[in-house]
Amino acid sequence: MVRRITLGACGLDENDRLVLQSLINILELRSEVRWDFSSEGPGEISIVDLDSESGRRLWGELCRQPERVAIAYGGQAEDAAYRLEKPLRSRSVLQLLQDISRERYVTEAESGEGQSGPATAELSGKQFFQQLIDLFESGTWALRDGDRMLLIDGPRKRAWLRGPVDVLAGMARKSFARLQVLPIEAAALETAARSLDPISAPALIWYFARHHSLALQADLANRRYRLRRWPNLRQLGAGPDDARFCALLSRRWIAFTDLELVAGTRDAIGLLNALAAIGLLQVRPEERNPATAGTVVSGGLFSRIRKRLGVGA
Amino acid sequence: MSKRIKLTEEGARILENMLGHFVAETTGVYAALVSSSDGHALAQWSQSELHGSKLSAMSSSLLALGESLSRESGQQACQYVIVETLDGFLVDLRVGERMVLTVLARKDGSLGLLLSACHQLAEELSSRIRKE
Amino acid sequence: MSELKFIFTGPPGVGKSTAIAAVSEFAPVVTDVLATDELSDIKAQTTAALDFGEITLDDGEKVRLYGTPGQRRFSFMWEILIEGGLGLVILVDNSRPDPLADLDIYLENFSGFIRDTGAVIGVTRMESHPQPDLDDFAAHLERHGLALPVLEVDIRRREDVVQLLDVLMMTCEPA
Ligand SMILES: Nc1nc2c(ncn2[C@@H]2O[C@H](COP(=O)(O)OP(=O)(O)O)[C@@H](O)[C@H]2O)c(=O)[nH]1
Ligand SMILES: [Mg+2]
Repeated sequence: MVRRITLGACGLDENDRLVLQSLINILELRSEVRWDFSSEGPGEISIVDLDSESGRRLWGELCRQPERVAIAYGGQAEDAAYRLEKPLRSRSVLQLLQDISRERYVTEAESGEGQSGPATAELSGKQFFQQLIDLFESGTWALRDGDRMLLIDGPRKRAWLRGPVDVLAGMARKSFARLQVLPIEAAALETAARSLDPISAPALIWYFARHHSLALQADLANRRYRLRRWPNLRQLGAGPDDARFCALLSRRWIAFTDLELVAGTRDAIGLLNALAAIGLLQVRPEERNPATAGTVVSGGLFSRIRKRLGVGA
Repeated sequence: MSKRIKLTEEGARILENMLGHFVAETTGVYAALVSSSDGHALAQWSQSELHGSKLSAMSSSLLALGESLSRESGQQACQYVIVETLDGFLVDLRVGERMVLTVLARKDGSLGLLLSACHQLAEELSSRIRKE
Repeated sequence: MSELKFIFTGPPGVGKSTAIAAVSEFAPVVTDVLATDELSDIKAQTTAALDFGEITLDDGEKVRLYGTPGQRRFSFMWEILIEGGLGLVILVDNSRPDPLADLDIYLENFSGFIRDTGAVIGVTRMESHPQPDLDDFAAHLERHGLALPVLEVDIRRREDVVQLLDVLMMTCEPA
């Protein structure tokens, strides 16, 4: 029998509610529990934002009801049995919810036979990307999509792909509809990965961001970007143009539109997402009067030099 | 033969003596330096304070440029690079293949005499070093 | 307006003259003299003043390429050559004892130019001397507060030199 649990969001802002909602899709794949989501108000498990007024109001009430679990988030809560740090990290939310549901709602017998066939997660490209980054934070995981598989070794920041080279591309094309995220024992991971070549976490993240940039549509305007450190492009498996685009970001604060002008929309989105995900990008808000806006012109002189040298456009 | 130039103390003293004689005996000359072709200071004699290592590097560059200029202009081997200032002359010339002689002079004497004295000193230095 | 001029610098023997020869339209002007110090064990000649090569654009405009001498005693030539340049290529020879310290010499000496204009770093002989690797260089630059491009190059190949110049132009202020 499958247990249903309602997860309640109490006083959470829009963004956090969306994060939670997308997370329970993944959670279902890993546990014997089906989750319902209540975006306003308590559930059997509630996540309470103590930074909001409505959250604080509900907190005392919930703590007095032993059949319910309240997870504090933000603010001060000495009486909280469970706590999550701000900002919400998918990894830690998943881990905590899984632990609680195992502990309190699933009996031994149920957990043994609860494998009722894989469920599916409807993830957007952006959610998948975030998920990928989070999975590298800790733990060992297997992402399956039919016979394609991505094995992730969080602590050692590496992964293995089983299946065609473009496994990720395949996963992306299916909008992650049939993607399973399963925790896997470290020992099992070793065995599964034995005959495969490892890819470093940054290289995998880079690959995904650069090849599926349009899935990552994000609000990149009103900010300026600059490299913190030059990326090891060879190790990342970067394409020949990436060096040029990165060079643009290497000495100046660049607006998205400036990069877009040189790199095109697709590459500009992919590059900024990739660089941010591997921690090499600095971001600052756009100044109110951007004196330097539009600094990047396609460079009449430089393009003539390039033409003479026989490179680029 | 080793390509390195490494003067013994003795060798340096001999060079300095030759430079000293030259400065004393040539009208208008107040300093002379010998450097390696690649701009290391080897020996100098001067009646006033001189930043020898700087002048050596610059002389090496200047002479190399003079030689390139001669070559690119299609003229025969460069003999001297001469800098004329309001006060006097700076002359750079080769000593054999691996050294440069730099002479600093006031405008007391004629340039022609100065150059021929420089040329003669370079020859003497060159044959002396070959003997060493 | 800037002169149309790029400058190549880096330690003796790294390949500055070779790089300019690889892209110049004519045999470059060289000012090589016989080496007389420890360099002579590996290389007979060294640049005493400058290397000079040129590229002509379609409209007849000339882009000039200058190589500096490598040794610090010639730093007065560095000052002369960098004046009015569009960008700087720093070449680093990974087979030397301390390539990161070599890099520091040029970062320090050209710091004003690098801040105001643009620079790119090419690391040579990595095929035989993989350490320090590109990550080490990038981390080292980050400690200087810099994110300049660092590329592995074989300076004898024209396309590698062209790539250096191409990436360099991206780091520069628009011209
Ligand atoms: N094996 C190898 N040789 C190189 C590489 N880069 C440069 N060289 C050689 O190193 C020498 C560099 O000499 P040169 O250009 O005169 O150096 P400069 O003193 O910087 O002007 C040339 O003989 C090149 O062929 C490299 O990546 N690998
Ligand atoms: Mg040279």
